Amino acid sequence: MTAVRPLTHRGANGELYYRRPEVERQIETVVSLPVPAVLERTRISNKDDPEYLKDECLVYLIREHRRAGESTLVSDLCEQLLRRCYGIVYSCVGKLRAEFAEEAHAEVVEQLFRKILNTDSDRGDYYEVSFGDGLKRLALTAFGKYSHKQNATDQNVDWDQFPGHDPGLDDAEAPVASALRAADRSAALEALRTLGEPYRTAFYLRYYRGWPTEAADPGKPSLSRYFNKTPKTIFNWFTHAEKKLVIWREGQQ
Amino acid sequence: MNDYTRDELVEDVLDAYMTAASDPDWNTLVTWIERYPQFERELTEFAVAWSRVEALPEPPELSPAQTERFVQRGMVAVQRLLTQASPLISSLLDAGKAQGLSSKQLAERTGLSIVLVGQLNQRLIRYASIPGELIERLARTVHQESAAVRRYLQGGPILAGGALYKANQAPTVAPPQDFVAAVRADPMLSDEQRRRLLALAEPGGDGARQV
Repeated sequence: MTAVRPLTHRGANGELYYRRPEVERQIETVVSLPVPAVLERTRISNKDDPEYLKDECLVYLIREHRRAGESTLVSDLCEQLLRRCYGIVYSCVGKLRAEFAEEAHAEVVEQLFRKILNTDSDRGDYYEVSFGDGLKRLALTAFGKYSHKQNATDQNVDWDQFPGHDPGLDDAEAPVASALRAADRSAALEALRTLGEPYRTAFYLRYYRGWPTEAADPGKPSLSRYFNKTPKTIFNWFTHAEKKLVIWREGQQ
Repeated sequence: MNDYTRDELVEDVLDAYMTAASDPDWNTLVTWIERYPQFERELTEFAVAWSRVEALPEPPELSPAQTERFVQRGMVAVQRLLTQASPLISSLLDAGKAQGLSSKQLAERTGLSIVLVGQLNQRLIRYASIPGELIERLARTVHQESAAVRRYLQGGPILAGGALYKANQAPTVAPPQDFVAAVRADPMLSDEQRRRLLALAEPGGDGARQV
C-alpha cells in the first residue's frame, strides 16, 4: 500500500467527501509502516499521545486491509475500533432498558461494520471523514427506534383526559421549566425522570429545544403535529407536568 | 439514477445534519427541513431521538468486565461480517429458486411482470437505467446482498437458455433497452404496476440526488 486511496462518495449536497488534512497526513505516514508497528499504534489509547491513531485513520486501514484480504489483521483492527466505540454508543443506547439496549447496540455495530467492511461500496467513506459524528448518528437512530418499542411496552398514565387547561400557559415560560434550566443539569434530568413518556420528551422539546406547541406555519414541526394531539391537550400535559415537577422540587427541599 | 436508494440518501442527510448541528434545537431542524423537505419525517424523528437522549440522565458507568462483554458481543457481529463474502449470482431466477420462489412469485414480490423479471435475468435492460430501489427490492427478495445483485445486472446480456437457432451464424443479442422503455412496452403489467415502476424511475422518485 503506498498511495492513499481517495474517497468517492458524494454527500447529501452532491459534493465529494474529503478527509481532514491531519487525517490524510497520518494515513500517509502509517501506510508505509510494517504491520506490527501499525498494530502497536492502534493500541495506544491516550489521545494526547502524538502516536495515537485517529479513528478515521483506523477505519482507512481496516478498509484497505479488507480489500487486500488480510482477514486476521482486519479482525485485530476491528477489535481496536470497537473498543473505541463503546463510549459513544453506550451513552445513547445505555439509556434504554437492558433488553432493548442490547439489541440497539448489536444493530449499531452491525450497521457500522457492514458499511466499513463492504469493499463493493463507498458507504463507509463517511467514517473516514468524521467517525465520531457518524457513529453517534447510528447510535441515536438506534436509540430512536428502540425507544419507540420500549415506550410501547411501558404502562404510562394517559394524561390526555386531565382537566386544567390554562390558556395563560400558552407560550409563556413555565416557572418550573425556567427553574430547571437554571439548576444543575443532572438534577434537572432527575426531575424530568418523574415524568413518563411522551410527556418528558414534550416538555424537553418545548422548554429546552424551543419547539412551539403549535407552529404558525403548518409546514414546520410543532409538538401538536409531532404527537398528533390538539394544542389544548399539549397544554394540559404541561399543566400536569408543572404540578409533578413542583411536587418533586418540594421533595428535594 | 441508480447510484443511491432513498434510504442511503436519508443516511447521508442525517450524517450531514449530525455534523452541522451542535444540538437538536428547533431552528436548526427547521433549516434542514427547508433544505430537504422530502426527508422531513426522518429529520424530525432524528431530532426528537437526539432530544430524548439528552433528556435522560447518563447511564451507570460500565465496569471493566461489562465493557469487555460489550466489546466481545460486538466482535461476534464483526466476525460474522468478516466471514461473509458477497457470493456471485449466476442467475436471478436461480437465486429466487434457492428461496423457493418461482419466476411468477419473484415477479409478484418485486412488483414486476414475468417478462421484466426475464429481461432483468438476461440482462437485457441497461444497468444504469434500473432504479436503485428496484435493485434493493430484488436483493431483499432473493436474500442476497445488493452488491451481488448489482454485479450480476452489470454483466453483458445473455441469450435465453433452451432456444434453438436455425441460422448459420451465431445468434446475437440486441443491445439492452432502457428500463422505462421496457416498462412502457411490457404488455403484462397492469396500469397500476406500470405507474409504480415508472414512478421509481423518475428523478426524485427513487431518491435521486437533489442538488
